[in-house]
Amino acid sequence: MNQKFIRNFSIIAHIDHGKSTLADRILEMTKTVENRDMMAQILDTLDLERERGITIKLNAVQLKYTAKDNQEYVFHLIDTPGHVDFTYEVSRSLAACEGAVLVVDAAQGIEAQTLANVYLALDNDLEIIPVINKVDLPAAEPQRVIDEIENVIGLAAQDAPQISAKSGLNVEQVLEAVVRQVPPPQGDPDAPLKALVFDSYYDPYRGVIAFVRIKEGNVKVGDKIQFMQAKAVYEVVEVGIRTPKEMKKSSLSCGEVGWIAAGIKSVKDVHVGDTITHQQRPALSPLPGYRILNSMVFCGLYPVETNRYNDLREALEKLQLNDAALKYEPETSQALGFGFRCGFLGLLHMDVVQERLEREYNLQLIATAPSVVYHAYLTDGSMIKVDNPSLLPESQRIDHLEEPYVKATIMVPTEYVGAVMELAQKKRGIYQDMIAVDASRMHLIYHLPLGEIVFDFFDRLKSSTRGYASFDYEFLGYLESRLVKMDILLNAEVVDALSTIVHRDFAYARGKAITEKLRTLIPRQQFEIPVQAALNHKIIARSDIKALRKNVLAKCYGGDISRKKKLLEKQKEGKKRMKQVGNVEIPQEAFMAVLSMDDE
Amino acid sequence: MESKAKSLYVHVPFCEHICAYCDFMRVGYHPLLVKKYLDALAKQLQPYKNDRFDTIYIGGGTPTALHEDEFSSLLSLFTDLRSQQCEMTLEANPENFSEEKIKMAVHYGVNRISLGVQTTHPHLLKIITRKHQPADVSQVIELCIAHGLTNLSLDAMYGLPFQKMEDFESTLEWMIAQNIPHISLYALTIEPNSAFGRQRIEPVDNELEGQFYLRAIEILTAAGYSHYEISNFAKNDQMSQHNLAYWHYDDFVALGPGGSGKEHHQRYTNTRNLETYFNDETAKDERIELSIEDEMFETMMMGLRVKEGISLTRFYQRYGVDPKDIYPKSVKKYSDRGWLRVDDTSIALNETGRQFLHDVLVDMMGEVIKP
Repeated sequence: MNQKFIRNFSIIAHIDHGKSTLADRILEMTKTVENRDMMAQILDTLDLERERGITIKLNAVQLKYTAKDNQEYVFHLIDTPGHVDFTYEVSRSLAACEGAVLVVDAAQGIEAQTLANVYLALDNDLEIIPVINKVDLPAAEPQRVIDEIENVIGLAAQDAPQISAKSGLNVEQVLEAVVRQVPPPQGDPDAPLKALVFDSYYDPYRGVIAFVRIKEGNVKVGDKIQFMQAKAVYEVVEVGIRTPKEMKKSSLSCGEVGWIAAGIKSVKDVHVGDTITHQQRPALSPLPGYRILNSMVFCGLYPVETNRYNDLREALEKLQLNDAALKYEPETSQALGFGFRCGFLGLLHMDVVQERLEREYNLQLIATAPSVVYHAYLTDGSMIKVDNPSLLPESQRIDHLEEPYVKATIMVPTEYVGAVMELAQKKRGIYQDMIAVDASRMHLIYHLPLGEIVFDFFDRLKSSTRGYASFDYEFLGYLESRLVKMDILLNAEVVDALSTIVHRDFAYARGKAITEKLRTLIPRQQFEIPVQAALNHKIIARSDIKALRKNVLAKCYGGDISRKKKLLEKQKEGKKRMKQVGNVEIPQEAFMAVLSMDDE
Repeated sequence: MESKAKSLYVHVPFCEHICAYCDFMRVGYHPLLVKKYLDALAKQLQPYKNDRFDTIYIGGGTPTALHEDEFSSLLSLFTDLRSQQCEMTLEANPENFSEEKIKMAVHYGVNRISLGVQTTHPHLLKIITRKHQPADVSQVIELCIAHGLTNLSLDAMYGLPFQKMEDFESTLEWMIAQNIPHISLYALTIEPNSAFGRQRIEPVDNELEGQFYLRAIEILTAAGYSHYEISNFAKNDQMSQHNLAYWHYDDFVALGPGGSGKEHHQRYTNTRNLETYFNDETAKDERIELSIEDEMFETMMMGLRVKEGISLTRFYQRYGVDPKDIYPKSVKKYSDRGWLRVDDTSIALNETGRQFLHDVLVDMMGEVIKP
C-alpha cells in the first residue's frame, strides 16, 4: 500500500460532544458500514460503554474514502477512551496517528477534558482539525466556540467545518480536511520493524490480539516477533485489519494500522505503548513514550456471600484478561472475610469493573471506600506503600506520611468560580492559576490531594456548580501531609473495612459526619449500637443506633400466612445483602458511607 | 386417611363504609350483591354440609353490615355445621350490631363476639374513619351480655396517627373495666392499598410502636390477662379457639370471596372478584402446594407466636422429625440468647423472643435442612 494515501487519525472530544456520532457518520459515508448494519455508535463495543455513553476499549477501523481529487485514500480511524482515567491509553492511541479531529460542541464550547485531550495530541505532534459540532441546535454559537478555540488553544479555527454529526451536515468537509491536513505516515518500510501497541483484547480462541500501528518496516504471518519492553517472543499466527469486521491479511506494512494474533496467552505480555520488533532483525531502540501503568485508586472487593469468593476470583481473572490495568490481590478483612484489594486507574475504571462484576458475573459485592496509595516513612528510615487504610502502621512507628497530589484543571462558568474555589479550599487544594476562557468562563488550576478527589470531589463539584463545571486531572507527585488513620468502631469493635486516612485538621468533622451517616444507614437491631470514630484509640465522635423495639407483625390472620411469608422472604433477602460483623449487621451501602457525607 | 379440617372461616365482604387502614377484600353494601353472595356461599358450602366444625369464624368485611333478613340467612347456613363444643365467633361492628341481630346471633349458635372497638377516642375514631361512637360500644357490650353472649373480644389499635400514649392507655383501661375475657391488639400497618397507603401516611416509628406494645403488655397482664399470643390476651383461659387452630397450623376451610384456607397440604385464596365468585364459587386466586419444608417452617412461623409454643410430639407426628434437628443453628443461637426454651414437650419463645419473632424466623428460613 502506498503510504502517501494513508491517513491515520483519532477523534477527540469531551464526553457528549458527539465523538461517537461523528464516527458513526464517517463509517456510513465511507460505506464502511451499510446503514442497515449500523448499530448506533458502533465503535463502542461493550454494553456498559454504550449505556454510559463513554468509550472504554479502543478500536481501530480501516475505511476507504474517495476524495474530491478522485484519489482513493485509506483512513485508519482510531477510537480513544474519553475519560481521565485512561490518559495514558489515549496518549498511545494518539501516538498511532498523524492527526486528530477535535470535536467541540457548538453550544457547550471547550471543556476541561477537551483541553486535556488537545494537549495530549499536541504532545504527540498531531495535526489538529477543529470541528464545530451540533451547529443545528438552537443554542449553538459556532462563532463563540471558534473564538474560544483560537483564544484558549491557539488553533486557527475560522475555517473549521461546522457540522451536525447527527444529521450528517458538512461531515464530508471533515473527511476532506483529513485528506488535506493530516500528513501521510512517515517511516521507512525497509527499516527493522517497529510496531506500536496501542490496545489489545483477549479472544478465548486465539489468545491476546494486539492492535498496532506499524511505524517502521512490516510484519507478516510466520514472523518471529519480540515485545521490546515485556521481552516476550512469539510467532505471528494472523494479521489483519478491521473494517470494522475483522479481515485477515498476509502482512501489515509501514504506516498501516491493524491487529496481530500470535498465540499470546496473557495480556500481561502485551503492554500498551510497547514496541513490537522482529526477533531476527530487531530495531535498535523501542518507540518513545512507554510507561508502566500504576493503579491510582484502590478498594477492597468482597462477596456478600462468603461462599462466592472463588467466583469473584475467577471473575476478576477473566476481567483482567481484557484489562491489564486492573490489579488485584487477595486480602482478608476481619469484618468482611476473604476478598481482594483491587487497583484501578481511577474512579471510573473502578465503577466500571464493579458494575461488570455485578452484572456480567452476577456477584453481589461489598466495596470498601476507595483509597489512594500513601507513602509511610517509618522511624527506622524505611518506606512502605499503604493502599489499605487499615494496614497503616501504628502512629508511633511513623515518621511522616506522603500522599499523591494531582494537578486539577477545572473549567467553570464565572458565576461559580467562588463556589469552586471554596470547594477546592475545603479539599485542601493549593491554588495555582486562573485563566479567563472567555467573558463567561474561567479555567482554574489547583493542586489537590488525590485522596480528596476519590473521596467526593466529583459529586461536590457537580452539586456546587449545578453540573456546569468540567474537570480533569493529572498525577503530580507525592507530598508530605499531616494524615492520620481514623478507625470506626461498631459496638466497641473496630471494623477494619471502615477505616480511612484523613487529614488531621478534618478528622473531627469527618468523624462526626461518618458516625452520623452510619447511624442512618445501619438498620436498628435488637440492641443499642454505639458508632464511634477514633484516632489512635481515642474516641473523637459518637452516635448511637437505638435498639429495635420489636420486629413482629402484631396481628396474624389465617389468611395472612402467604402474605406474612412473603414479608419474611423480603426481610431475608434484605439480610442477604448485609454483612454480619461481630453482632452487628451492616448493609452494603455502609461501607461506602464515607463517600456521601454532608460533613462541613 | 387424612383428618378433615375442624375450623371454618367465612368471609363476608360487605361494609357500610371502608375504614382508612383497611385493605381487606371488601365492597360497599348493596342488597343485590348480598343476595348473589348468599346464594354463592350456600353453594360453596355444599361439599362441607356433612362436616362438623369445632370452630367457625364469621369475619369480614363487616358481617353485621348485612340487614336483618340477610343476616339471619347468613347465620342459618352454619348452624348445622357446628360440632358439640363449637366456638362460633362473629365479627361485629358496634354501630350496626342491633339488639335484633344480637338475638339472631344467639339463636343460630354464635357464642363469641369479636367487637371492632379500636379506640375509645372520638378524634382517633374519626382519623381512622370508623363510624361508631364510644357510647355505641358500651351499649353493644351491655346488650350482648344481657343476651348471654359473655365471651367477648375487643380489638384495640395502636400506632394510629396522632395517638398519644395516654390515649392508648385509657382505651385499654376502659376495656379492662368492661370485664370482658379477651382483648386483641392491632398495630396499625400502612397497607399500600388502603386509604392511608394512598395518602402516604407515615407508619409510626418503631421505637414508639414498641413503647405502645410493651405498655399494653404491662397494663393487660397486670389486670389479669394472660399474654397467650403475640397480640392476644385472655382471662380465665378464654382464648380464641379459632385463632389457636391457625397458630397450631391446623387445616381450616375458607368460604367467601377473598378468604384464605388451608386443606390437604394446600393453601388457597378464594377469588377476590365478586363477579367471578358469583359465577363460580370455587374459583381461586391462588393455590399453593405446600412442601414438607414449607409446612415445617409455617408450623414454626405460626406456633412460635403462642406463649405455649409448639408441641414437639405434634411436630413429630406430622413430620417425623424434631424441630431442633431442622433448625439447629437458630435453635442454638436463640437458646443461648435466652429467648428460646426447648424442653421435652415443647419449643417456645419467651416474651422478648416473641417481640423479635421475625428475626428468629428469618434465621430459620435460611436454614433449610431436608429431613
